Amino acid sequence: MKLLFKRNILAIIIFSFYFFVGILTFKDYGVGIEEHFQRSSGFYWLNYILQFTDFDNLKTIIENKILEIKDFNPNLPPVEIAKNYGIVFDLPAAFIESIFNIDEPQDYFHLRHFLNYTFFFISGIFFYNILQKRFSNNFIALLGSFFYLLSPRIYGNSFFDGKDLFFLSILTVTIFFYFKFENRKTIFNLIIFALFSALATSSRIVGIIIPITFLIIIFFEILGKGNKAEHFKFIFLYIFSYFIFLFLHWPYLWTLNFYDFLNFFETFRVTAFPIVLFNGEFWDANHLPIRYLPIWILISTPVLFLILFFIGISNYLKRVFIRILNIKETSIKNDFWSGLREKKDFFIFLNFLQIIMMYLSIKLTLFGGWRHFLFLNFFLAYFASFANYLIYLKIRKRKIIRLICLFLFFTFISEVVYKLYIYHPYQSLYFNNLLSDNKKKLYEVDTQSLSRSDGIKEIIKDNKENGVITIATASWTPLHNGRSLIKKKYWDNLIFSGTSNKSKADYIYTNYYYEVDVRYNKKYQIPENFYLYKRLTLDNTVVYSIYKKNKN
Amino acid sequence: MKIFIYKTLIISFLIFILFHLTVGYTIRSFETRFFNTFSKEKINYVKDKIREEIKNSISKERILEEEDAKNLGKFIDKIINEIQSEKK
Repeated sequence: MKLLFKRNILAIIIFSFYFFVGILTFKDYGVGIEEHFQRSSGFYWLNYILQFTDFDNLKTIIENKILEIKDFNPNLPPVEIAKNYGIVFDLPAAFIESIFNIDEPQDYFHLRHFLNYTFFFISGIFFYNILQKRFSNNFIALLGSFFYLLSPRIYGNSFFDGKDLFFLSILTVTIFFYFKFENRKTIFNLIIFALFSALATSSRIVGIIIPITFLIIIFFEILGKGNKAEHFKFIFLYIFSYFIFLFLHWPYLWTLNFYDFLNFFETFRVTAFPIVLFNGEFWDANHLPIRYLPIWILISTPVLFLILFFIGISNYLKRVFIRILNIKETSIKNDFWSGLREKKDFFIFLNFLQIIMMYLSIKLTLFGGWRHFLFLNFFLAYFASFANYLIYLKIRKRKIIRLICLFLFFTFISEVVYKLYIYHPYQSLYFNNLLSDNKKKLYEVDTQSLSRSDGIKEIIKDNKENGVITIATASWTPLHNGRSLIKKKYWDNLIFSGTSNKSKADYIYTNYYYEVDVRYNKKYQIPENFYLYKRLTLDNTVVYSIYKKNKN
Repeated sequence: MKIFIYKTLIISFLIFILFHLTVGYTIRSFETRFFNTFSKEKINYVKDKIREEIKNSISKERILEEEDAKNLGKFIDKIINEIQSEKK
């Protein structure tokens, strides 16, 4: 067993198995609510960049793709409303789709799912490496990678969420390259780190915390002992290459004028103002209670991960507190860390602290659970691994306690794997055991409208005569976009009547996701001439329902 | 100098956290309560409810009790008289 750990053989086997499971199942996932827009964004920017080149054939393909998107969904918001969306995932996906002539909707959405999952998997390997270097223990690194890769909401999103989950992946890779730079302070490593910092920033503007943290760390180093000239050289090189990379890879910046740069951060404000169901109450998305994010994390992350995270972060805070108490005017070591490993912890901690400060001070528009903050999974898994390490140091010489702990870990992780299995392919809707079954209906569930393709498939299955059927929607879901994962031969038989005239439809689909307070607004009420035909419930969480018209 | 910078940073940070956990939290709670109490949905609901009640009342044979109608009539007459006498 020791040999398996020593040579990473066990890790290789487990990671291969994990990837294999993803490859076998990535076609099971529905199309996410933002995927059509993101695909459109990818082609928009690819077309924009190609204007500076002579690739005429490719230009024609892209133009046809853009026309096809408009034809398929005339109501899709134009890319111009969110030009600041990063292109790191969408543009390469659009390029691959064009180069390989992938024209079937099912194929290009599956391709996106495959790419997103693969990149998340690769980030998992980077995370393993981060932990391995930090704790010098392959078992702790493997366990931490489980936390990172197996958290059900994260795993589920890793297939279709090319924005929030992709940002988590790129954040992990960026931190890996920061650690690499810390291990070997070469200019090459610094430039690679700057490159990934720029990619993280364009993927989600919150990625800007990484350069800020890096500069704070160097500032502390300058305050302490060390080669000040070298530090200033690193600052200059990092900032210079960071902005160069940012500008080079983010065509949105090419379109801005001086005035736009002055209001740069304003454009990142979310302009949608839906009503959000949270803890049984309907809230304005702009005025959510401060407990919104912590409670979402508490109810949708496996309990073991949460317990370990709290142990890890509280111990780390204690360590920082002691360091602050012991600060002296002159000291050999740095004031906030001693040694490279602690410096890495401090880097992660500073990033985490900035996110807390940002959450407390900026009024954010949030909806759809904690999907905008899924990148916090990195910090949860890191500090949980830190707790694992502390526990390991305490029990390593006590064989019986060590065995008991191993058994407990194994049991908890088996439970998580079991939940991954029973939720499939809706792991992104997972609730943990802290939330009782009757309280699950107090929270939004299918916020990504993942179930719409499955809903349509169920309706097609029931339409045995193969006639034309009208499907209405009783939730805030663009159901017609769910066609993308349905075979084209069925498209002509489906009429999507939207949310109005529900009583005239043959079927009504709802995933109980609303943008209005349904206690007062009756626009999504199911007409009386319909009966419940099918309901999908997973782990006592209602995912979607289909109502069928009563023929009598 | 170094100690001074650290102290400034730590105190600023603590003030920031303290402010947001006390004053900031209270302001945000009031704001949240205010905006969620007077949401567009609720106002529209109340409007619709009033409209509905008026429609229901119109369809009824009588809206007011006989005695209430008498008293209200007298009351309105009195007010009109008083206003008119003031105008003169």
